[in-house]
Amino acid sequence: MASSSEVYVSAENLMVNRRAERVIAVVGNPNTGKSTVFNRLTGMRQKVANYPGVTVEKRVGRATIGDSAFDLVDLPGIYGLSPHSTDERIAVDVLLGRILGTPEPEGILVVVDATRLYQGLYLVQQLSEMGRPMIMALTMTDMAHLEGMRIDIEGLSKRLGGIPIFPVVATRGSGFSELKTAISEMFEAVSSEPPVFWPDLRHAAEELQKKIGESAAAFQVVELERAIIDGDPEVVESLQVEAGDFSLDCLLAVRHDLCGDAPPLAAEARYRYTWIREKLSDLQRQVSPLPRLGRAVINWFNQPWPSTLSFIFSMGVVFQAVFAWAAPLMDMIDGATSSLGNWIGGALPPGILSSFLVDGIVAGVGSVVIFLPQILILFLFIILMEDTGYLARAAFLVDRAMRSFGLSGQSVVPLLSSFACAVPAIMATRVIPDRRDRIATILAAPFMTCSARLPVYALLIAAFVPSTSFGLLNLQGLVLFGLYLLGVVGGVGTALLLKRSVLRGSNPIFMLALPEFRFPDLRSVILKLLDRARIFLRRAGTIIFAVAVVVWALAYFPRSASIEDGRIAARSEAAFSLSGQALQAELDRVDNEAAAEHLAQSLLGRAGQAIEPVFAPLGWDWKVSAAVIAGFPAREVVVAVLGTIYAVGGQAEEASLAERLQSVTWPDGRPVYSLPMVLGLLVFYAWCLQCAATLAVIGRETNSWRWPVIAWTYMTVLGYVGALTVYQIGAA
Amino acid sequence: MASMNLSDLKPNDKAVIQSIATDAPGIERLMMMGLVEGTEIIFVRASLGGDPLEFQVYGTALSLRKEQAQQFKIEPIPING
Repeated sequence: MASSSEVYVSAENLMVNRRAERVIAVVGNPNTGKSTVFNRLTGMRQKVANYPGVTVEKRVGRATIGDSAFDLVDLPGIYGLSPHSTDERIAVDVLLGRILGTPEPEGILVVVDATRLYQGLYLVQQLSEMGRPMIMALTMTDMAHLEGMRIDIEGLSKRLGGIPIFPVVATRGSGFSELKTAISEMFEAVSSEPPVFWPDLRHAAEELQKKIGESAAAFQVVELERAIIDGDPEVVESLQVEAGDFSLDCLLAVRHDLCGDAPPLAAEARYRYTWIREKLSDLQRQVSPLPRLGRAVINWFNQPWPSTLSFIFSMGVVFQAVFAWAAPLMDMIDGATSSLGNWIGGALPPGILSSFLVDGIVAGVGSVVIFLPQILILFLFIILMEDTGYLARAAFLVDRAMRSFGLSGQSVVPLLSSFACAVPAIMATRVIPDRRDRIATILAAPFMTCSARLPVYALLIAAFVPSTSFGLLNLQGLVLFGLYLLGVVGGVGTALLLKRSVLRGSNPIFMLALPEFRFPDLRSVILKLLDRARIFLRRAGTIIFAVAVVVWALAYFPRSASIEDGRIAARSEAAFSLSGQALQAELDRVDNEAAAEHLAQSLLGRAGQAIEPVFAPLGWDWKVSAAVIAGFPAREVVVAVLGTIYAVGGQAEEASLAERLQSVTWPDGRPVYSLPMVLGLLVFYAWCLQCAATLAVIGRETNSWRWPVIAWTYMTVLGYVGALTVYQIGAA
Repeated sequence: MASMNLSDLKPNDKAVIQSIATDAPGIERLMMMGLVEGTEIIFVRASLGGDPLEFQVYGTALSLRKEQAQQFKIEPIPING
């Protein structure tokens, strides 16, 4: 444990300690099926949170085996103990017990992909030298077999100093009962010290300890080793404070003795891979692989041209699916919310409570929840592309093209994910090693059409774009495609602009592991999808609910008695002079007028009117202005707000929101939602950054408040100017 | 023959890494993934437009840009050898 002086205990720490179980870290290379193993062992009993101060996901799950229970921590994938990114840094820090609220793991379950054995064994060597009980799960053994690879598992275990190895097929669940038994016994049969594969490094660390003395004794030997190889800042700084520059001279001296003039990490890689190749090559035999149709097909598809075509095709399928497949489900949700509203409206006397429940809560939240099917379908595709390894292939494919926009192939994964949501996408930019590339990608991501823009797009397109077809192409679909394109153009243009100006620099490195195509594990896909649904519904249940309530209140209060008196007077007057259908029509007209007057003098109405001059050049009336203002914390709220505004201000429960928008007019009878205005509004939504969560994550990931401020200002101005241009040209 | 580097290979060519310019940016990380002297490497294909390049190392498919591939000097392995 580092000699840090953290005396306070976080709430989370307390909770973990109260039900303290032995903690086992699940470690492995990226894309080894590590998380699938973790899911198999822990089932649905997982807790997902973030590590303190960073947005790296922390997954902890309880595995109950017989009478004993263990807490498994699923660490981000690493190739070795030398971190190159935030995720990797976290994984290494957890292993070294340096993260507050995450107890130092007592045991290690290392997951090694049999088809990529050597890279796994590099990590296994390093982990073994940490001296903790360790078990190895060998995944993808079925794939390795098909590829003609034969591994002598028993022999391997012996050469690695007796570490128990369990072949598993994570997707099918085979081999897991043996693995579980071994985990439950791993702390009982602690036999000999685990082996040290690079004794020279161990000696160097001990030498360092001897030279520096006491202040070095506070560190684990592994920590000193990492300091010798990577210059681990935590150790180096602390040594310098405790023992002065002398300790750094010692460090450099032992490093030079160990590695000579070579970079230490290069020396380590040379030593360990040479060891693996020389000591283990006889344990692995290659027979000719079985001819497999699947492999031949995949190989063909991985060629540049087929892969480009399949990429374009699959993007087309995704967008088609998001609209066509989701429609019936959305109709169902729509039907359910409006019958709920009608039922409440019928059961309660008219008045403030009824208005609050029907217009505020049901209309507000319902108009957002309706987009759950689209969001889930989109995420389903993104998860599938991620889990099959297709996203990495796409990055490889487009790297050159992306470079001409100043980005790299690694930007394509975050940018594609931001079609679902910019927040996880911005977190995913961590795979980009170059800081300038990363910031350019972060600022481009919020331009991509995220799922929260879909509600607005869907509503306005359904209401105002005729559903004419040209052969296979539908005009509504074309407009939607155009909006997606607009987002891409905005994002790419922004990246280009940044890379030509403030983020100018040399071409960064680009290294990407291209995972084999594999069939995704259904469990993992479902778990991830449920996660997404939960996040969305939690947002709908908290932020959006709160905004809906506030907006309803702003639109309802203050309630003017004189308007109400006028309405009652006008109604009785009508009842006196008219009858039958004419009476009903007149009553509706009176009610509508009163509702509109109420809205106009409500707080929301006044705010909208105050801001209206700003948006008037875009052709927006005060209601649109008010809705847009209300949408700045979370853009999908706009639909809820429009729903609330036009439900409060109109009588027509039976008409859909789209139909109600069509009938909104200026006092002189011109429709408010004219085509130029609608197109301008769409452009505004394509470019404007209306999402508090995105701003927060930009701030967190760039570690500065400057970038979120720049992004917000830039995108808001761009959206405004875009909408202005479209409206003025269209209206002229 | 002048020394070849990784970017000189033809698709499906095999080679052994001979020497590495370890001080070029990003090279240490590649070495951590097994691209060290003595490692056998296969060039699989180039992407659209000839860059980046896909290699196979110890069962892993890796994508490198030409600039990085040029940091690795290699000795080609004859097809039948």
